[in-house]
Amino acid sequence: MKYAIDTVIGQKRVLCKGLIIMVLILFISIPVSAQEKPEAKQESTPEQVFQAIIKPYQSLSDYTVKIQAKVMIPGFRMPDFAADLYFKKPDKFHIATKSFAPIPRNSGFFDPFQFDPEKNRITFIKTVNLDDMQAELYKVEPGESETRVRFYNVWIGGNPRRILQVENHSFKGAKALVKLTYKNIEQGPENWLMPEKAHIHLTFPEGMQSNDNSSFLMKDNPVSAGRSKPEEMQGEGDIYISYGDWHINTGLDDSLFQQ
Amino acid sequence: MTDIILRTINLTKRYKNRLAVDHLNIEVRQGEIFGFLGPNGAGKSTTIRMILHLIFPTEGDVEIFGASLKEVGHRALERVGAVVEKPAFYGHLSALRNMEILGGLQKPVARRKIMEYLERVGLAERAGDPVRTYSHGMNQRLGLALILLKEPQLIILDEPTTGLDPQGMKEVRELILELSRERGVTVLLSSHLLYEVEMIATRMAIIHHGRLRVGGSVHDLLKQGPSEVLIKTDRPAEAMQFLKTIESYGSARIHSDGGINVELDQEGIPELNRQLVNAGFNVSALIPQRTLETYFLNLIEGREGADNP
Amino acid sequence: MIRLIWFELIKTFTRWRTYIGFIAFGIIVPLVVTGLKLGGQDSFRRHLLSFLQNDFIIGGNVLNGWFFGFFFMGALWVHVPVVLTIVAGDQIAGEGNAGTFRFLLTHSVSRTRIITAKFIVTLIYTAVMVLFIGGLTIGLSLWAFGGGDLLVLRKGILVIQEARLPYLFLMAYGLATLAMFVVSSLCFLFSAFTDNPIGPIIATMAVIIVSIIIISLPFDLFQAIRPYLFVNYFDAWQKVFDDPVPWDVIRINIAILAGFMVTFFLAAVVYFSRKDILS
Repeated sequence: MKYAIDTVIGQKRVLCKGLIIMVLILFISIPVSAQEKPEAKQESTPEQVFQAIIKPYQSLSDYTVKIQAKVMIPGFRMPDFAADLYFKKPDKFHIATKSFAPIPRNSGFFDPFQFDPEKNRITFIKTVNLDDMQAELYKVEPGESETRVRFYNVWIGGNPRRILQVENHSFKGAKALVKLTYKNIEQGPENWLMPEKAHIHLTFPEGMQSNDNSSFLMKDNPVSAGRSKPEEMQGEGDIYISYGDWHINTGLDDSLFQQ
Repeated sequence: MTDIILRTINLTKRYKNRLAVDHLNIEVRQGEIFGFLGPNGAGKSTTIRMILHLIFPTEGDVEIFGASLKEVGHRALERVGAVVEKPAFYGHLSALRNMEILGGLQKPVARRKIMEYLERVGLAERAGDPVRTYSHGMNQRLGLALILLKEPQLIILDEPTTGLDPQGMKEVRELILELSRERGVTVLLSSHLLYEVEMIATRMAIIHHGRLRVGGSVHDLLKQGPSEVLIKTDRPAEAMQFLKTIESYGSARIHSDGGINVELDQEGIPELNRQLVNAGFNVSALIPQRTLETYFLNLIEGREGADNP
Repeated sequence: MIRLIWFELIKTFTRWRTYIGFIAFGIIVPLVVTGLKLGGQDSFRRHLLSFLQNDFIIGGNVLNGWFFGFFFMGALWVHVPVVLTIVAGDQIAGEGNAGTFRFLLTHSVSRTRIITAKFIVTLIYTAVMVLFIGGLTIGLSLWAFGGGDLLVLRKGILVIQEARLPYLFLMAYGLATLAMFVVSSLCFLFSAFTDNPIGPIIATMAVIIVSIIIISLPFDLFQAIRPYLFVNYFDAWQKVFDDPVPWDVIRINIAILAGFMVTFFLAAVVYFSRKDILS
């Protein structure tokens, strides 16, 4: 009798273990399967996703970083340049450099709060494979106060999750595709995931040109030096930026950003 | 044989349709003071400018110290000093600086020497003043100082006493005479002040319409032809009628200033005086008129014969 | 010859009119720099950077002293010749007008040597004037606006690092001086033709202005004669601000400008050697 009871109890234990295992498997597989289905909704809303991206930077008030940049745009001949970039929450930027330093607007500066869901309308588009990494593609439409950029495509992925790539589309038809790689920056007890490199691919569908093409005079007039207008340039180019020597939360003064 | 310092050989200058100098042949000899005369527009300045290589002849040549101007050009002027018309300087510079520049073109000139010549012409005290503050007379003197600085052997002067006061004129004449007699400098002097040329020139040439009219020794030329006497009386008209009655005074004519001109040698003047006084006329002056001026005017107006030297 | 040149230097640099150009630019340049400093920069910023600022934020001191120095160089092509002709036009005509040739040329010194000495002094004055303007514009601009890279707009955008700029500006001013030598030489030639110093000034400026008009108009005939006009090579100085620097083209431009200068000078010598001095 005892054997029988022991057997039943043993069988029940096995059954329980199996159930537990099955439940565990179920709990694990549901999220996984949800990820594999492109139409399947995230467990988080796009806003929550972006909040989660921003969250690690909430305590970031300001930073200073040294950049080295190489510009490779046809018709744009310039040496590599270095600059110090300064940022202060919420959206103040300053460049300090002796060289001529063209930083692509809306794509050259690292602004961790740029895609704050409270200021933008964010829509999930799809999950894609980006450089052998799974990434989620979102469309971010800035608020009405933004006059330059129509919308952004933002790829989020990696571990930890971060913005892998941003493509901004301006009202004038220009595009900038920014691919970011990150580095862990240790500053005292804090760790920050900050950009290490950025590759910006620019596309200018109409070329960079001024509005005045109406002059009757010969444009290569030797006595018009210093007053010539820019001519048409080809519409695509690249800028490579390396970031280094980060200093975060050093207490930058507002006066720095008024220069 | 006397050295010919300067010679023009068929010297000609034609400007389009105008012949300014027409086959001019003159010679200036060593040590003499040569007067070069002619009315305005006769071609004097053109001739002098051709001699000085400022103007290029259409035909002909100039020889200076035996060197042909055509062949050696400006090098022929090495021993020549000249003042052409009004002396012109760099007005913003001092006399001293002007002398340094214009006198030092061939070789440097010591300041001490410059001051010596400025002293000579009476400009030493104004040596540091800008030349634009100088009077016309001072400019003339500075021009003379400049050519003397070069210690030339031939001096060419075009109207050298223009603008000078009588004292200044006298000093220039004496300077020219001193240069000629004591240093053997040859002088070519062009002047419209005929009495000046008469006073100091030994030989002369007169040109008119670009052609040589007459040339030779001043003394010999003035001796040619009759001389004249100017008579000043109380009754010139009556006196002239009286003279007309005497054959030897038949050439008498009224002079522009109210006197009477009579062709007469100097030896006949006392007899003329006696005749007039005996006839009851008061004679206030009897002035010999055989000067270069009358000769020149007669020549130009065609009353004198033309001859080549 | 050295002594003749020294005499001509004294004659030229002791006249007050020689300093008209120095005084004029000495007043104008600081005034313009002050105007730029007080707000004129904004106009430049709009003109120059507007097309970039749509898509870029521009860091660095773009509107710096080198930039304005470059701008001044391009803006002075009519003004600099005016002051140069004041002296060049007076070199021969002035002596004729004053009558000083009557002393100057009645020595055993050739007219060729005298003219050559005058020409050399004309060139010295030209070089001093151009370099004075260069030193003043760049010096004042750097002092007022600071340094930085130079942004040049030609065949796109070219940015030249500041470290290279002193050398490049020196070369550029050398070429600009050569171009102005041609202007002075032409005026010098005109000066040989007359005893009135005003004539060469007007004639030279007329030639420059008409030539500039010809090369600016897009008519086939004008463009065909363009290579024969010396103003066409006024921009030789710009060519050093390029990457790579077209040295072959610059060498050709130097040869052409030098050719013009020598031609004008030789024409002046030939003409003056046979000219009747009537003044």
